[in-house]
Amino acid sequence: MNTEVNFAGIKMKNPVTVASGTFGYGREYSQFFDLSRLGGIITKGTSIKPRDGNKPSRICETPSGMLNSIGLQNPGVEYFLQYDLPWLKQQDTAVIVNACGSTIEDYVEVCKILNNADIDGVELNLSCPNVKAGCLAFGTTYEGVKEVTSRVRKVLDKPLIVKLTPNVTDITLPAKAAEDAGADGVSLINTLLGMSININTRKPYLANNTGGLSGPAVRPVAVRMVYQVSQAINIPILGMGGIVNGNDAIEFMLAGASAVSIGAGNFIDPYTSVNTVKGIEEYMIKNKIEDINEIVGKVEMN
Amino acid sequence: MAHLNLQDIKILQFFGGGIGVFPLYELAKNAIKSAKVNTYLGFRNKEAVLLEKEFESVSNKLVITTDDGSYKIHGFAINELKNDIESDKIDAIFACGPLPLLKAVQALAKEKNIPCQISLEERMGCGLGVCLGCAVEVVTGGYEHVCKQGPVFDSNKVII
Ligand SMILES: Cc1cc2nc3c(=O)[nH]c(=O)nc-3n(C[C@H](O)[C@H](O)[C@H](O)COP(=O)(O)O)c2cc1C
Ligand code: FES
Repeated sequence: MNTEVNFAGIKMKNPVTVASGTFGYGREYSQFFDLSRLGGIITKGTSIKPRDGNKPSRICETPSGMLNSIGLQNPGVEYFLQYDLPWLKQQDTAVIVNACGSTIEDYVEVCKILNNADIDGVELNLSCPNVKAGCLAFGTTYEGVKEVTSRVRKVLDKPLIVKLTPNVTDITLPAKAAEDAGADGVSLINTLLGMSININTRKPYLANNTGGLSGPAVRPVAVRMVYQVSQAINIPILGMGGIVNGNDAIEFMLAGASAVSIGAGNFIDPYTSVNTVKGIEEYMIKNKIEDINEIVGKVEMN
Repeated sequence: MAHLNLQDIKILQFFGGGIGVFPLYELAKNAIKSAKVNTYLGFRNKEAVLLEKEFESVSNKLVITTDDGSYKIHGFAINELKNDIESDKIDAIFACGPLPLLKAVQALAKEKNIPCQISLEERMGCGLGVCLGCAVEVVTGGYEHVCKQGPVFDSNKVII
């Protein structure tokens, strides 16, 4: 039985990764399980300079999901390279760095630095709904995605994955832009913009008023978008949005994802990601699937 | 109890409201062994009063208030503390309870220059220090996280 995948040029022992912003830089979860059991780790969104993030409250629970407006709090790329990467490299799992910025120059600068680092790939976050400048502004149009991705592509030789926002009318347009600009893969979905109000105080629960929705509540939206994108482009897809077990992961792969990511599921149970690996293997045994790559895109539409 | 050593402290002030009284009780049980403990507890009404007997056995002085006056002293516990603080020589204050109460204690401790620790609450995602959801603003700039660096903070350190 083969669970190994080659996603966008990144070799992984299985298709399961953990989503940016839900796993830090890995250390905290290593007290629960051996990180080498994962296909890969996608780091917290990392910027050229440290970022403090948004004012609290930053998260709140919603039906089958959560809203967050963390605001990309992170210690900056130099700190990551010095203090977290050496440790992460010893964990025997693919290391993909999620890069974010406020301007095109920020993205280019951080990727120039990452190009010389001992990492397996870069995921470009063009889709964070929680920071005023940047991200979302680039991520919602064909032109915006194409421009940032092309500029980054010039300075980055490593595998480049572009993370797409679902907060658009037609997700295939930014996906096509990433492909046209030379990305090796796309990842989707980032969070859906939402709001939740405390009826007693009449104020939104989040200090930022709005935030990104994730967790099982968004899964059908994510599966639909993964399917649409898979029909529109030829580069591979990293699928995510509400995955909490092996069956959910298989659903994304049938829709067209070559690999998957677990986000908010890590908060429900710290073992969700490794249990997803086990669940995929059980599905393969039960359905006599020799190679996990066989099922990618194998949904049979009505 | 990161930076205050109970052994060195003679008179402690405990200050709690609502369910915040539970963690304080465990601390008071230890503190009474070596120090004088004054406890101030505030509740909404008579029905909400918790652990009265238990605190009696671990406090040298116990003051209970209810917001509606249905039990013991009518009013907020913080006002009782303000009255006593002039006469009692307090070495340290520990507080746990709703945010308005913590804010009042924080201000009082600052004004009287008394070391004070407060236990904070914030909605949590992971409880591990990875999601950065449970942020609390610190006076030195930026944020710390209730689940990791907290939940108990030096009251001079945080902006609440
Ligand atoms: C607390 C939190 C923080 C996140 N931070 C980032 C981030 O820094 N960069 C990013 O690209 N996505 C970030 N995301 C989005 C996730 O990586 C993922 O795309 C999204 O949550 C959907 O997956 P899920 O439903 O499994 O959580 C964050 C999500 C959460 C819940
Ligand atoms: S709850 Fe996630 S960092 Fe504290």
